[in-house]
Amino acid sequence: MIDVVGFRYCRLGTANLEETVKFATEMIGLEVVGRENGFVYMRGDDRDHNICYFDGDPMDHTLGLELAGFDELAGAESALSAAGLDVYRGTEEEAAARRCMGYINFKDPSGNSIDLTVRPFAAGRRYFPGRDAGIDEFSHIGLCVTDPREAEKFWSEVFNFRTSDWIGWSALMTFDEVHHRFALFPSDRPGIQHINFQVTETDDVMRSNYFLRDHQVRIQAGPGRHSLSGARFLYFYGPDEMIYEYSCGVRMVDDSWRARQFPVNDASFCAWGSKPDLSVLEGPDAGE
Amino acid sequence: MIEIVDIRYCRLGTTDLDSAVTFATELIGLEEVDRSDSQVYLRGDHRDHNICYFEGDPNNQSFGLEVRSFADLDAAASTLQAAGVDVRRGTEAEAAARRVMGFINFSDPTGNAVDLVVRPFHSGRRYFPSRDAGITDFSHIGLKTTDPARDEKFWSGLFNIRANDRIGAAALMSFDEVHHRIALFPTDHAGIQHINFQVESVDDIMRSHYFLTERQIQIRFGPGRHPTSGAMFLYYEGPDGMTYEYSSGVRNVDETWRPRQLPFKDESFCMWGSRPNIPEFSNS
Repeated sequence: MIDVVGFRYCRLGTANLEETVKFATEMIGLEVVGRENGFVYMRGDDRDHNICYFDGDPMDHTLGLELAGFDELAGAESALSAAGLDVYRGTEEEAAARRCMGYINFKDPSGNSIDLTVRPFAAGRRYFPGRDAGIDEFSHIGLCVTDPREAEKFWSEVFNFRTSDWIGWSALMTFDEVHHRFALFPSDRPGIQHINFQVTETDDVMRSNYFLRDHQVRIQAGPGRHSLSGARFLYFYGPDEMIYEYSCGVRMVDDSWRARQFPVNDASFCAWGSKPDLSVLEGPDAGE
Repeated sequence: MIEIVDIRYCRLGTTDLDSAVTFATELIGLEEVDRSDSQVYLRGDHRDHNICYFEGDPNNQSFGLEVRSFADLDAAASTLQAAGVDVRRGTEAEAAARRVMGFINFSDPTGNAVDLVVRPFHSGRRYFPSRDAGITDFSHIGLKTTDPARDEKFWSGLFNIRANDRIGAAALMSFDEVHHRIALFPTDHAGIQHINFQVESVDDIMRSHYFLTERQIQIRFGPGRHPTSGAMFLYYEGPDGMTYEYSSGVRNVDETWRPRQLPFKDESFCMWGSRPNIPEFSNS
């Protein structure tokens, strides 16, 4: 069992680095913390960075998770190899580019590229954005998987992930007390489906709703309230068709929490009545 | 000084009584508590009724404020007459139609008809609506004024009503701890400008936003949040062009509260960034 202890970063290729950084700064409300060798590091909380954008294929996504130490990293390497997965050990230079002291990379059964990092950097300076979006932290992602049942089995058997709730076959999974760190979305290819930042309160969700609409940003869903996690949410499109989410008030769960099954319908997605795009939960074969 | 202890009801003329009642029950979420041939009583809380619709001119509007006793009612009549205001004593039949034990009627300087009532009816049964709008109580009204300074002086001079905040010349006034019970909005004619029902939480505001939008109800303002009272709100168009509001989380104030002056602009009405489509709330 590989124990994940932290949820750290996304590395995202983009077709237009400057435009993407501008959007992340002026619309999402992230802070640029560094630019090195074609990588731009950005954040919405007090850690070193949450997103690293680089010029490249917009389908090239990597998620960074944190392990407790180098012993755990070696243990993870063995466990993944034993599970039949190819494991790549990052060089010192590659670790420096990820702003951590060491890491390995592997691909999950869907082909999602995952970094397992050790001692990712903290930051001395606190987060200070250019726009008052009220962001508190990078909190979870939607992860595209080719088979949600197989993916749930992989993450819960090889890792310390457990399911907090299901909507259809899609599991919302976590390794700590936050209701979900992964939401699995059926797809015909791997990748990050959305990136979530927690904001302080409903006021922030609603202010951003009007701010983004005023700036002609395409809203994907919301404002709404998730029936599963209880969080108020707003989804919107950024560059390269990436979906970003603000939410607040996500439920905390403990050992006594019992996972619930929700059907795939509007009310499972939004308790307020906003109309979600349920096709994201139906998978690539829907409608055939 | 006339001491108001509660805000009780609005009486609204309507050209189409059945449509007004259907809207109030199926969309606003009010409960019909009684009806006769020409009037229907509805409510959103545990009191006898909050709105009475009657067949008549939609410009025929009045609202009811409660005084504590018959002695206070007599004193109020004297106070108003001494101030040069015409006062009419309601008949027993008229009191019965208002579901109160007694009342007087007068008009404010703009011409808004006001009932001062004594011992309005309470209700044995609790409020039970047919739609889950989350309404907890009838809380305040917007009142039109042709001269906001004059009318603020009228209400605060003769009554225990004080301004708790002002947006431009519009005074948000109250007689108790709730931030506002009567909000005076400048225009060129008399009338009730909007009718407010409090709902339990922001969830109710947002549920109703999607519920009403889906049913093609014209949303006039919101969802938003007032910087004055702190309440989250949704304004929409109801029967006969009346504006109805749901809001949640209105601020309570006490004697230490000091009224604030906000400039007359959109962000003084909404701190989230929504823009009003209500003539009295905008300059344009």
